[in-house]
Amino acid sequence: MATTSSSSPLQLRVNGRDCVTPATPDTPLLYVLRNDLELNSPKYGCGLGECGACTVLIDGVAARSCVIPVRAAQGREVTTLEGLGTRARPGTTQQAFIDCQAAQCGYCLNGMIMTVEALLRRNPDPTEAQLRNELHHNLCRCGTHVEIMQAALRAARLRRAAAIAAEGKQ
Amino acid sequence: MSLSLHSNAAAPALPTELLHGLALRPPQARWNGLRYQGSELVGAELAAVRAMTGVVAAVQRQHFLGVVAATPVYALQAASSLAPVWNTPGSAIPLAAQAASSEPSTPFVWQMARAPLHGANQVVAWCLADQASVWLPPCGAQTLRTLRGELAALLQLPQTALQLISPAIADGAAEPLHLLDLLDAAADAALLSQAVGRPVSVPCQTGSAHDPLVLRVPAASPSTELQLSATAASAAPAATLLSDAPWAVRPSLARLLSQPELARASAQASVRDAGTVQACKTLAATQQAGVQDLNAAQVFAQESLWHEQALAQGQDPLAWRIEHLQGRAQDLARQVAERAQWPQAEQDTPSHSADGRLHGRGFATAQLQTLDASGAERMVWSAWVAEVAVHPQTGAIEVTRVVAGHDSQQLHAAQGATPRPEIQWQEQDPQLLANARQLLGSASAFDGWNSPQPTDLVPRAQSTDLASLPQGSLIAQGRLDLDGVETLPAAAAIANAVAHATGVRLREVPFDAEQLRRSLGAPEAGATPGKRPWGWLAAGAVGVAGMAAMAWPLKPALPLTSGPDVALYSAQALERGRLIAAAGDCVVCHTAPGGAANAGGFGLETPFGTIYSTNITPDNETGIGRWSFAAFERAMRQGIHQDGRQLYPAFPYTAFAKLSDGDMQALYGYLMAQAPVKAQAPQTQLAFPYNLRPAMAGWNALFHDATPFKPDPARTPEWNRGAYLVEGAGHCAACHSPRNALGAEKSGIHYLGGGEAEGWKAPALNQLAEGKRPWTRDTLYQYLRTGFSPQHGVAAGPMAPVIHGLAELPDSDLRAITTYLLELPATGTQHAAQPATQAAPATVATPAPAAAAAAPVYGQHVNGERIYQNACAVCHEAGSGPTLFGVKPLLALNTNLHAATPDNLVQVILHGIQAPANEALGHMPGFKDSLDDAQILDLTRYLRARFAPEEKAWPHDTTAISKLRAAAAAH
Repeated sequence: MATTSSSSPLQLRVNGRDCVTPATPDTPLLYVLRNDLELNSPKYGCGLGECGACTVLIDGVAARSCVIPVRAAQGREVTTLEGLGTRARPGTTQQAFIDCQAAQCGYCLNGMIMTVEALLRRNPDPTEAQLRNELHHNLCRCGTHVEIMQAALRAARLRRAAAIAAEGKQ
Repeated sequence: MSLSLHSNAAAPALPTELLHGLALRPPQARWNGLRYQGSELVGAELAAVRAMTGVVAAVQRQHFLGVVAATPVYALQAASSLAPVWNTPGSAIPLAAQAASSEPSTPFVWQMARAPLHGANQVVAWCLADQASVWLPPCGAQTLRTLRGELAALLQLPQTALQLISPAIADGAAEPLHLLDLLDAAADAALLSQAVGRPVSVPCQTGSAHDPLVLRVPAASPSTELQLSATAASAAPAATLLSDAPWAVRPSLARLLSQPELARASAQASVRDAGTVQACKTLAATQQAGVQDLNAAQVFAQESLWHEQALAQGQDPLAWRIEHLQGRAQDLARQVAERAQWPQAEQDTPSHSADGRLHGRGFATAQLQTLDASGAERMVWSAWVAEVAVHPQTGAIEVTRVVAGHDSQQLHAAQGATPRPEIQWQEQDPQLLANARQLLGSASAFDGWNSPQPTDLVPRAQSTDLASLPQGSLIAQGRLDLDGVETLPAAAAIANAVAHATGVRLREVPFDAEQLRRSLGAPEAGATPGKRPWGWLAAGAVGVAGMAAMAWPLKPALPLTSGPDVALYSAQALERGRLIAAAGDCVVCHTAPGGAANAGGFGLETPFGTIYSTNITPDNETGIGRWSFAAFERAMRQGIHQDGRQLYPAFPYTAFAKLSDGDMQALYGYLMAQAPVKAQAPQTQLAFPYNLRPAMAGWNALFHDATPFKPDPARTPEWNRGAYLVEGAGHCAACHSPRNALGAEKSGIHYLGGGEAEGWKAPALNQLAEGKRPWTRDTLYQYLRTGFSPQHGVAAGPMAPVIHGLAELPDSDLRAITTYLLELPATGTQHAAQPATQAAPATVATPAPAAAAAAPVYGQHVNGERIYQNACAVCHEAGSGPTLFGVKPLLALNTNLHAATPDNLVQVILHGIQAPANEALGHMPGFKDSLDDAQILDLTRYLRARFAPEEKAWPHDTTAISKLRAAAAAH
């Protein structure tokens, strides 16, 4: 099938910054993020979009970056785990996972946090069933599910508290 | 009053976490000027939609229905699952019948095509309890004022609680959107945002083709009708006009639907001192006119009427009109007439020029009250003198000269602050002439290409002859051309000029040359019917439409030329060519993977061998740079290369033969204007006997009909347009019709009866509206526009680039294709082949709960189910799983799972969807390296049993899968 030749490098916007990648348009977004932009929190798991370890946000919606070619992210806002906060000032969802010690090996955690973050952005007040449903297809192989669910519920609480605090300031 | 309308300093930034909304439109949205009288909402599947993946809210307010979701595609999917039930009042009296009852005189009709949207525009609204912010595309002060009033009424907030953020319009640029399109999108966004309390983005959509504005001259004084748009009684004796439709801008649909009893107009026409328009109170109409449409129609009718009145009184039309103007309007009119050297009445007789054309001149003027960019009230005037030449044989009107002047005055200005001379002049301005010529439309023809670029009357940049201005005072203040006042008198000036030249009064805009010719009583023009004056297509091309296609095997080479001078092609012609090339998808087959566009070398697999496409860039050695138009047309219509060899019908010249002459020339001009690429395409090598190209002559004699498309006069213009696109440039039949043993498309009942392309089954198109899973106009249109229909699936494989090409075409063309395809006669034979079952198709409206869906009823499909749950469910399981980027295609509704063979399903599983019709639909990975043939077989049989249980199971056999896998590997 006809594809236009890639003469100009691809322009991306990741975590609020504009970047340029020499990758071909068909390269999976995950490879560009990890190899070219050195953003290593999205993980390579299955490579088929099944496990969720590679999850990032595209325009605020969870996306499995291993099956999305980088050209699909052009003109959109990509957010990785690095974009949620810093080591000194973690984002609310990150903080919740720290608080609950919700990690064993930690390989799946990027996907867990990003998926919860995406849900909270569109639904700040989810039920436990909604959280479970959202995380249903994020695989964890070392059995941290209980802590992860606690962290997810806490993330929702922290986010609501932060929103109220922000409104109070205004 | 001086509002700070573009206060960018305080403007809040666009929120980053946007939700996406979409509102449903009722089948009929009538408004009588005071209240809503269209379809009423009875019910909808709100609960089911709220449970869908990615959906944030489903909102109902009286008859208003909309959804809010995480992404635009989820919103689309949710909106099409709402399954609303409408109660449409059936007693709507046809407007024509009503009008006929009191037929006072021939009405004035104003119908300007709505310029289709260019680029994606969206409105974002964020409404909280007591305040709202709305981010808009660029719009003018008058539009912002209308929007503010409208949104305040909709949200029931004071106007001061609204913050409208809109970038200022670039100086001289037009407002990119029609007022109503903007109004509807902003109101949808506001109402949906109010429902969820979060920022919601709504795309602006082009309203449907609207009914013309019709103005009548009343026979007697109308006493029973309500006066809706009354201006202060003017001293001028201009007659009152009557309108069937409410003479005002309707409220946004969101307000009309959510507050049906309280729907007062959102804006009025802003023409002043031109007389009044009264609207009939009892009639409800689908009002699609914005302020500018109302103004334009009113000025056209009133100024035409003035001319008629003057003639009836035996007066000079100009003197009569000037006499009834006042103050600055009168000054302006005098000066314009003077500058146009309007002759005295006694020497003013229409003249024949040497070429037999009739010459005439006409005058018209307009006055408008509006806001300028700083939000201050202004009165603006415009006056036109147009000179025309009419060709009595063809009725063609040429605008030969325009003199236009403008004046403006700030109202409520501090005393003495207004500089007196503000008149601007334009004469023989090419842009002005171009604007005027827009009015010279022709009847809708099957080959009229409606460019998606805004080609409507575009108020032009103020690049006037500055030297002729007394002072630069006005220029410093910005635009004089507020609300398009500059072009307002154009139509009436031209109509008056035509009346002066020919005595025929044109009452319909755009003017139709054919109508004028009939009125002039001229004999049929020439011996070549359908030959239109392609004045703008001034290429040195020779028409060879009449060339006979004979079964003569050896064709002569046509001489090579130095190629056309592409500078001779107008921008319009090149744009038309570009659209034809897009509709024809030239670039898809004429571009090798990774190669330069149109440089050829793409291999098409046919049962006879691989055929390589040729280089169609205008390169002199390897492309078509030295082809004459005659050679190009012969190739397109008869499949004969410039050098005389026969081309194989893999090149769908059988379809391209249907192109009209005008389109063929525009396409030639467009291709010749592209950058040449030197690239030698591989030679096509077919096995004996197919390598004998002359034998194709016999094939042509048997199977090829080279006559151009002929519209069916019994059908609507839309149907004919659709037929022309499908049969001609679109060459749908190349893939969607079955071919016979000699590779010819079967016709008759087999036409578009389903075919094959590149290892994919191309489904039948001649029974779309039938069967268990019928396509409707809307679903088919949506599929062609976006590459995705929630009820049928995504466009994949060779159909994806077709959607890319169609993206260039305006909505009207896609609607036309939809109309034609849904009205194709069905074969009926394919139904009989499928066992008729009673199983109702699954509806999206009721996604099964996750628990029920996973019920272990597929005992024999344990392996298939396991593969599905691990590999597919995350993206495809209805009603469960995360909301992910891209769409969630529901397999129960996928056409491929209901097909007779699993081929397309296997193709998708093996190779995924790497190049979706639209990136927002998402991507699917290929599983060819993860799943073996046996696993794919298990999976397809499970999918069939679960999602298409009413269909016959597919064969338990992996050979088809191996074959498709091997075919892909050979590529």
